[in-house]
Amino acid sequence: MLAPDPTHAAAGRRELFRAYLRGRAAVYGYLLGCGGAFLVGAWQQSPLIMAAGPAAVALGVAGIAWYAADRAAAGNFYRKLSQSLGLFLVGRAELLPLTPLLGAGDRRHCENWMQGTLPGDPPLRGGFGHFVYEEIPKKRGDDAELVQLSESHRLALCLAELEPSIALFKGVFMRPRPGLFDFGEDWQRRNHLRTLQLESAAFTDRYQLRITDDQDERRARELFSPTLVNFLATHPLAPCFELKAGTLAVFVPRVLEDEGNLVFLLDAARHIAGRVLREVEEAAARPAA
Amino acid sequence: MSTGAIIFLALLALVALWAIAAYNSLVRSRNKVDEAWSGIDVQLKRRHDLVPNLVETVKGYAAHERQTLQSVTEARREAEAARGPEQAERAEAKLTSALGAVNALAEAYPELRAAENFQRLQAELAEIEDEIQASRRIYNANVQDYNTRVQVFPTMVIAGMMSFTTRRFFEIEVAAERAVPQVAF
Repeated sequence: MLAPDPTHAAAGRRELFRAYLRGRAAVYGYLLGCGGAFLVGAWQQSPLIMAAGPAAVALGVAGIAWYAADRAAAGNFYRKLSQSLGLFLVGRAELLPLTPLLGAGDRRHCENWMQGTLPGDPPLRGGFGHFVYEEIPKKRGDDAELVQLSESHRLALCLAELEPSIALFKGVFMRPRPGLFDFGEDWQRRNHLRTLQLESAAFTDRYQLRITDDQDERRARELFSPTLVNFLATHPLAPCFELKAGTLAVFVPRVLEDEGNLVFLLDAARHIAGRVLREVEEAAARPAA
Repeated sequence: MSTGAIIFLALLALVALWAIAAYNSLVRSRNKVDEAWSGIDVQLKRRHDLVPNLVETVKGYAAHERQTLQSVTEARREAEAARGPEQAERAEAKLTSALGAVNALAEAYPELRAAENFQRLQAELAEIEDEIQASRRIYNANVQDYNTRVQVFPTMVIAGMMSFTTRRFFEIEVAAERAVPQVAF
């Protein structure tokens, strides 16, 4: 029924949908729904409800089956992926707002969250999955309907704990360069930040790089070695990162739901983490000025 | 003022605004090229700084290979004196070739090859060469971007009027690129 080795979140969804539709729950639900529609039609003396009711119930049952199949297929995919990466699938999780992104919006949570020791060398504690933050419009009264106006932003995120970097990197933040008509939330704006320009035109076209007031600019520039700048400027996923309080948050501003791209993001996070740790090592080896 | 004159003035203002924007974009692009060149310069300097240590280490194991060591020192001096991409390209190629000869020496002196200091310097050199390659890619990408702006219509009109000329790409051969993988069956 389920794809034995799913490579994306929708793998096996169609098979599950068919199986659910043929299942007892769907058949009983459909029959009960039809009976109910027929009774309501009779009570209302409406032949229209009696005739159209079963079709509406069939659509409703199909919709629920599709949703359940979608969730089950995704669950299966993330369970298998977390096992193959040696991570523990938490599912829904909350994160501490250690970087501006993790504190973005008015409400936030993680979905399909996997955590543990990220695969690769050196071993890094961290997590990996989808991050969702919601913006809820304010000053619109207490009407309960307003909640529906909230706007959700979903992105793929990989977190790594880089404790040794706390002293050296107080706040280095990258985000995709907004376009001319991009009016989305700038979650980094709440902090006092300075913009940093690097020498690569391709990097500058793609990203906006900012540092906190207390961040040593020279250190930040040293972190962005030519190899890292090249890596980021040419990476097909265009990964961005935020580094603060010993937490590295590498993200792609869209949802990734296939194994290839998710592992690609994980590799990018490892690459960036490796560069940060190397810079920390080099700084420690340098004699104090 | 007649409608025709107003339209003419509005068009003139639009052209002037475009010319200012085009000029600024050319200046920004040219500055990026210069910045990227400074990035290459920093990495090349790191390589030059490594050479004396490398020479001293090799001297300790192969003192009578004076000619090879002298050619490295001379190539380094020339590379340090080089100004601009064209001169640097030639000088760095010479230095790369001289460093290649030092690597070849290590094959003939197993003690040198096994020396910890030599291995560390080789690793450092390899890392610097990676950074040089990355800097070169950034520089060449910036040059391509700038040259495109200088050559395409209509910015070429402003570029011609303000004497913006195309820049040269920087090609440098590094030891890692020269090394041909040995396949043994």
